[in-house]
Amino acid sequence: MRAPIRLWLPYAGACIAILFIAFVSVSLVRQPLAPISLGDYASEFCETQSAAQNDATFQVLSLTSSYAQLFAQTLCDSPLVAQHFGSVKVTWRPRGFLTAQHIIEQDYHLIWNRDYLVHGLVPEFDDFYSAVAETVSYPVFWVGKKERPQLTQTYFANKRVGLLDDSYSQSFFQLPQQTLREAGIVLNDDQRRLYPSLQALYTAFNSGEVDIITSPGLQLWGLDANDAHTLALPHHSPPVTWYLSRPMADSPLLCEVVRALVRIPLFKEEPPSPQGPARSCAR
Amino acid sequence: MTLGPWRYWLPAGFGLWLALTALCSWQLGHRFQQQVTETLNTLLRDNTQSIALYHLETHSDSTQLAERINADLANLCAETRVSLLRDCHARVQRIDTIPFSGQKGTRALIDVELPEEYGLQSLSLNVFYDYHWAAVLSVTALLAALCLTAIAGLPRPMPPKQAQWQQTLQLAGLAKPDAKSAAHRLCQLPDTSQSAIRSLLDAELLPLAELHTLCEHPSAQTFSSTQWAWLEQALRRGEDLSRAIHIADCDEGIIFAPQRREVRIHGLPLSLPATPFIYYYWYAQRRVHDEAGWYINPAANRADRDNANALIALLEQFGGHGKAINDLREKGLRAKTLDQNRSKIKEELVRALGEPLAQGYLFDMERDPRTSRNKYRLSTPVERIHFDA
Repeated sequence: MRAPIRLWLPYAGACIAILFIAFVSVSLVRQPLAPISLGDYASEFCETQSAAQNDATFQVLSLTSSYAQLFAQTLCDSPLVAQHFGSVKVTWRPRGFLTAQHIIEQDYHLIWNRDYLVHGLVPEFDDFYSAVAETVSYPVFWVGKKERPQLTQTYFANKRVGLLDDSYSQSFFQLPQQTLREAGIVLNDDQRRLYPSLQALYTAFNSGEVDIITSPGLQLWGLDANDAHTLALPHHSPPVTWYLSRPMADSPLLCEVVRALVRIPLFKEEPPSPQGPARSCAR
Repeated sequence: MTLGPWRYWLPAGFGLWLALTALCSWQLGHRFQQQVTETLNTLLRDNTQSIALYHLETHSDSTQLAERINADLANLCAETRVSLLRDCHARVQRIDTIPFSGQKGTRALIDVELPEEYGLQSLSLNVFYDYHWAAVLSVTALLAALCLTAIAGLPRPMPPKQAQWQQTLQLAGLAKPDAKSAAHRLCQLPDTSQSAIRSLLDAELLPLAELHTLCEHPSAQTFSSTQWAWLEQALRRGEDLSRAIHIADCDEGIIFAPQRREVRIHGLPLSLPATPFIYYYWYAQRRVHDEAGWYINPAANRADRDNANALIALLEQFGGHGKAINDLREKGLRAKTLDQNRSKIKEELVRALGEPLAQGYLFDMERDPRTSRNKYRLSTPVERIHFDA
């Protein structure tokens, strides 16, 4: 014997309410995310033998990622460096990244930059850092396709020039513009194309987006050597100097650092020449 | 609280479990993907410079960069005690136009548009995760079990009759759970039985402790209203329940046990006073041995001597009163004596059985046309009269 249907309605309603609550509860279940942070990819980091006892980091400010890992590892492997530091970090940034504050507070132990730039930031720069090695002054070339570039208005009349969007860059910004001005060549705004990175600049050149770029040495990236025609610029790129912070430059670490610098294949053909007190370092 | 037939609850529970699991896993994955997409989008956009500068002044292989990003995105899920998702990680699928491998089993693809100023355009990530099925299934099983327990615990709507019974029993003093189950059982009895039991309770003839016994007894299903009446009467006379049931189950009829001066009507033992008992016995014998069983009252002026002697013999045999015996000896069997005894018998039977039940065991009266005197006989048919040795 069962109760009439209308008596079952509140029961059914209660059942549905319970099921509803269950399904809503299930919908509220969640998996929390772990805190995520991305590292500084424009740097290389390694630990020395004394990493467990020493948390001081040897900070290097470079201008390129080339061989940064090798350089960092060379310093990390050094027992002398391990005596003072638990880790080494090589950071690379555009030339304009360096500020007077970085210099005065000696945020970096080793800086690679140009003389006029660092002294322009802090006139008493030499109180804080001392030059220990200098790369050679190197030639820069105009690179064009199909025909050899000429430093004439006619040649440049219908050409798009690729430059790096970094006003501190000698090879890719200052020198080409200086050269054109000296030669009396005037470009329209749309003939001048600025690119945020070297990769973008070279890609644009390869794809034909620009007709002519500059390049230091004869390092041509992915360019067909037969298709690339060069013309040397009248001026060389000024040398770039390695500066070591004052207290360290007076210590045995000086020679250790210079030895490491000299090993970088970047300078294989022309290793940086030791400057000042570094000259006394044994080879 | 009854769980009901397993064949309904088990598949229902299983189905509920599956449904909850499906919903749970779907929304876990969906929500996670949403969160991760949002977080990584923001994170990558904020860190674009860091990624773009990786190739500063060089044209190197992006594999290392991808590996470093992958390492930073290797553990996306917080490690809690009950992790429902595990192996949550993201891997770079593409940086601008450079693709990377190792994307099998990906759950979602995140395309991040990067700010143009750094020369990078876009980055794609593959998101991976696995369900920690043990945890998910446990959680949903627990939820399903709770759900079913709650539903099973809901009070079921009751047929009004059952509710009425429950109320009656509770008022009579039975505890609620017992009243509930008793009401449920009572509702399943035929209507005759239900009303009979109700009147037993009303008359306080049935102790609550015995209600269960009575309900469970097979006779409760089959007794007619007459049998219920006998049961009630038996209880009134102080019999216990099992005897009362037995009595109600007995056949209609009288069993005479003159040695014990006991007459059992429908199984119910009665003891009559000596003399009326003998007269009852005598009328019964007449009914059995004589075809019709009628005995015409003797005329006022002519008492019956023969039957008087027979009665005297019976009285003497079974311990009748001396007075009655002497009365018969002196005056013989008179109508008055018979009327008196019959009246006494009726009085006793009605007192013991109540008027309706006593009916079949009293006396028929007719007027004899020939003598114009009344004649009487025992109403009970021959086959219902028995004599114990």
